[in-house]
Amino acid sequence: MSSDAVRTTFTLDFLDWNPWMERATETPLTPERRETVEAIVGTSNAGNYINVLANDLEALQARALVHRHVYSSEDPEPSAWRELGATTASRINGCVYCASVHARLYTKYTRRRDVALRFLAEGVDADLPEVERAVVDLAAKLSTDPESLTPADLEPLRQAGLDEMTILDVINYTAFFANANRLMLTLGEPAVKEE
Amino acid sequence: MQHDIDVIDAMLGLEVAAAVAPLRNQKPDNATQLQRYYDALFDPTNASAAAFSRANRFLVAVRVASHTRSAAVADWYAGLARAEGVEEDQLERAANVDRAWTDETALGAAMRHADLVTRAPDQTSAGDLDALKEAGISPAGVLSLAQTIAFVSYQLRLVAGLRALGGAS
Repeated sequence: MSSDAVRTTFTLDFLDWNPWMERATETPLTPERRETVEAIVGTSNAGNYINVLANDLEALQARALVHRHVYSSEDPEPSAWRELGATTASRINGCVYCASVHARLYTKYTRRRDVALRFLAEGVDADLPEVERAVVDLAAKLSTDPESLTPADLEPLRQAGLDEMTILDVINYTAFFANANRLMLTLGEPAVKEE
Repeated sequence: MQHDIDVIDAMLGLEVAAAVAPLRNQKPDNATQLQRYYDALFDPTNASAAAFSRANRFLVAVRVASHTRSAAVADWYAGLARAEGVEEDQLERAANVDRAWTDETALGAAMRHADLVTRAPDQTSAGDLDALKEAGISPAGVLSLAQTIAFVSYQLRLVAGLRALGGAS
């Protein structure tokens, strides 16, 4: 259950999400279409959000594959760095919901809860360890001014010991959150979760 | 139209696409799934195209890519728009992000929404979705618009990142 209290500050807490428009199941659908939509929405633990996205079912289904790949890919191993990239994009774009999810995952991989909290509170200018600094700088540039990116921007990550696939993973994941943030932020709003 | 070539590779150009191929080929599913997401939006079903037209999707894509001056991405969608019969003056307007699209039409409302979501996604409110509805866009159309904006926002950053990885600036 979610409350009506809108969450507007960055947090490591679990949040809910309330839509600003009709869920697909609230619109006129053919019986066949309704069955498909209900099957997809019913199995999701992000029901409201998926139900709104289901208003364009083909895009939702195609995007879900990209999303799942981005999340579940084991090659390279799930890394703290891509989670930090996602957190950076979300922090810059103002997506409190996405930032809370991915800062928790960054914390899970690194055990650096203090760094996560400082980054959420202070943003890209926060005092960060070396690898974190390199990842945040790349993710910030990609989020705010992607066309200014040059090969030289990747050097700090290489010097910090990240291989090319891990750097691509950070880029892909950060870029994907330009997408995820914009969907989450513009179709509804995060809410404080009721215990 | 289903594309025979990978759209990301096409946007990168032959040289950079070849340079990053050894990396991209390690995750072939990622490339195929991204292409499928692209097709869902830019080669939509008839029902989906009725909710938000192909021409409008291409123009919105040009607009989003023009905000970040992502020329290769904007040019790609401008080419698709021309093939769909969109006039040059419309394309010039879409590329000129300093000028608001003030028309009281579905496209005008969509373009104003694209400007807001691209520039300041955290400044949107429920009222912005109401404005799309008042312009005659259905819930299905609103989602096709939202997904188009979000997809291109992702794509142009992946292209910029791959270009840097491939040694080009």
